[in-house]
Amino acid sequence: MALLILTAAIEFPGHTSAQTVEESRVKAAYLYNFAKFVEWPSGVFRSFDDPAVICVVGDEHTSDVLEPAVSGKKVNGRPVQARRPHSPDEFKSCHVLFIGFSDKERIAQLLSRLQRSSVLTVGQSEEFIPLGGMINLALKNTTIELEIDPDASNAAGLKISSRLLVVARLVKAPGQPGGER
Amino acid sequence: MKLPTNLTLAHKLILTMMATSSTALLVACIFFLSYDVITLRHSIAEHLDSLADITGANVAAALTYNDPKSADLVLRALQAEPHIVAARIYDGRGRAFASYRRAVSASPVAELPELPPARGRRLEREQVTECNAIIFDGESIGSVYLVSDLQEIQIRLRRFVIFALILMGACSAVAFLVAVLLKRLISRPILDLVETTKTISREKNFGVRAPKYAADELGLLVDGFNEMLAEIEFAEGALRAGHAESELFINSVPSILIGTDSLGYVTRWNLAAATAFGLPAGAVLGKPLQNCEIRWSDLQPGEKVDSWFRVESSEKRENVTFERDGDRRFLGLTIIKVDLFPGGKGTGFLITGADITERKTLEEQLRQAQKLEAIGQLAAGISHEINTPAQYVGDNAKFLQETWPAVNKILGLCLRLREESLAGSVAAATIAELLQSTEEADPTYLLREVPQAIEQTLQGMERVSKIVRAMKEFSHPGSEGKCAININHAIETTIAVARNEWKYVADVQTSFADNLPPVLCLAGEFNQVILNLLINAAHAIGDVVGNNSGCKGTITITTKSDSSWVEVQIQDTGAGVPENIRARIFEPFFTTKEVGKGTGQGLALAHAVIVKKHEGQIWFESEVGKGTTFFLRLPLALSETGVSLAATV
Repeated sequence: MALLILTAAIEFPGHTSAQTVEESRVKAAYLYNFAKFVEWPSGVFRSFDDPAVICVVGDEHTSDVLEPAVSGKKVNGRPVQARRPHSPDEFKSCHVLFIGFSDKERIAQLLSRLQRSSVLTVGQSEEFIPLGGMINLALKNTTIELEIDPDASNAAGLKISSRLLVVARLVKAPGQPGGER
Repeated sequence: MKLPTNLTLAHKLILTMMATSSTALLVACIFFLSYDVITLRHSIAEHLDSLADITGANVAAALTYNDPKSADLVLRALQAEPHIVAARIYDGRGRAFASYRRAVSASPVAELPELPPARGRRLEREQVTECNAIIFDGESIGSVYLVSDLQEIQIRLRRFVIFALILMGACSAVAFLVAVLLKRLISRPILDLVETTKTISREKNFGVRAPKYAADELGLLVDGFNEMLAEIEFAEGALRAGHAESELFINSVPSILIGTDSLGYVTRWNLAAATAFGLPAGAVLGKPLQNCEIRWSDLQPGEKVDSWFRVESSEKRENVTFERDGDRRFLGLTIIKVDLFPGGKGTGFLITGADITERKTLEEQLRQAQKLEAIGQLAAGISHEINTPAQYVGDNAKFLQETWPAVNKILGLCLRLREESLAGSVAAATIAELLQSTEEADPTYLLREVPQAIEQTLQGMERVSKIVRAMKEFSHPGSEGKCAININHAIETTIAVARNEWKYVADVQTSFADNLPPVLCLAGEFNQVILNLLINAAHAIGDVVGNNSGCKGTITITTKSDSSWVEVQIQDTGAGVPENIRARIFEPFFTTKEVGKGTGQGLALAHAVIVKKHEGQIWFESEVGKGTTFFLRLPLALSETGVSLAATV
């Protein structure tokens, strides 16, 4: 696990359509670290040791890496659970949800279901923010860039640490005032 | 460090006060400065520590999400901290993630290590470095390394030094003013004290007193000084009095008193010395005695005045002579070596003595008187000795004179008878007259007596001339030096001269050695000695037998010789010398005889003549009631000095 964290910032050489193990590890690390920079509204956790649940859907590679990596780890004093949700209820019980597929319809459908639930949505497609997602892992050249729409997360009652915002590119969903920073 | 010891007291006081205040201030400044520098370094380090933590926290997200640009931005914010020279962020693998170097920096740009250095703080001379782990949510995700220069400290140091210099300058000025005001408290009494000492040494007046200002230690010093002055004044008076007294004593001593140091430089010269040498003290003090204007003459052969200053303890010098006003003066001196200081640190000499010229003269006169006395004493006896033959020479002459008219008459008649017989007619009257005259003249008597009278007259004259010759020989007129004499003959002469002194009380027997060699001696003085001893012997016997009692003692005079000496023994059968006076009999003026009979010079003279002038020996053996024997021994070989010494006396 430590290895995973330490290697989270590794640049991976080249990008191929077939997702490499290295790329999956970086993504898993990103997801795990989001839990540290985000503050959920009170009431989401019932007790101080309620686990922080990181869900991955539509990216089996990342799930495979994430699950062993977070086992036994804690974030802000909470144990971390990695899940592969199937039902809408299960989606809602997630705290971080990584949507690995890039089908716009499915993304929009999933996001609309999660409206008014305090789930940090993370995607990896160009359309993810415009569709109402909060954080997008954009593959640029050989590195992964963060794109964040703070309005979306604010609407869900989530507070993203300014420190995270500093390292990310802030993006506005179309129709929203302000636009790209 | 060399202290300025020649400054005046006032300046020293000012200097002391200023030095004290400056030193205190300096120490305080150094202390505060050190404290400030240390605390400042620590606070800089503390600040650096928190800055590193803040930076670490700020770059946590950038590290987590691999965003070096963002980290660079964070580091660039360090520009607000002017003393941060450089900074670097290392990722979890220890690789440089983001770096920062200040564009404008007074200190050289620090080298940033490629690999993260050891965690923690390092306070170096020029800079402080801090390397902290970046902890994010309990996990170390990298490290931050900050380098801060110490310019702040240097600036502060500079300011502090300037401030301290100004402070010290101000304090020195104030201290100087205070010191100038305060120094009078201390320096004035001391300056007065100094002035007092100057007055004393200038005027030699110990009656001066120093003024006292306060009852502090200086006051006590002044008191002590004044007390000391009083004591000195008293002691000086006593010393002067004592010195004057001792000077008076020394000058009152009738003896010569000369003090010298170990080299003979004159330090004391009393009045008696001045009188004796005719030189005032001022003419000799401080000069070597041998260089003083004294015309020494005839010291002991080879002796110089210098040699006096080599004597150990003390020595006597008799017959030191010098010439003064054309006269030869005699001194009897004693040279005494004295330790001037206890412990033998310095020696000097005390020469004491007297001008014994008068005594010498008196002694000479006394010697002559004694000689005259002896001769005078002899004169009666000698006159008697001469008188006896002279008397019968006279008697015989008178007898011849008385006889002569009768003889003359007979001779005249004989002449007439011869003329008448030649003429052929002899008158009977003439024959009758001749017969009558012859009868009257008693020719038998005359023929017997006249030759006897002539014979006796000639014998008497012979005795007289013998005595006169002996007297002449005895006194040896005109013979000053030593000459070889026949001791036996000399003794016989003396016996003859003194005959009248002993003939009534003793018989003189002589036992002379035949082969006695001639002895070199002063004949007159030797005879005098023998005479003295002979007369003493006669007196000793006379005391026993009484004069003219008819009972006589014996004086035996014996001579004998050895290869190196001739000995004379004069033995009497007198009463002997009592034990209690035996040690004193050779002392001058010692006598047991009644006043008028002896001067006490006889044996002293004998001793002087035999021992000093002839280097001989004289001693005696005596048994009370039986008699005394005097022994004289004269050496046959006189030493050179003995001859020359004798020749000078």
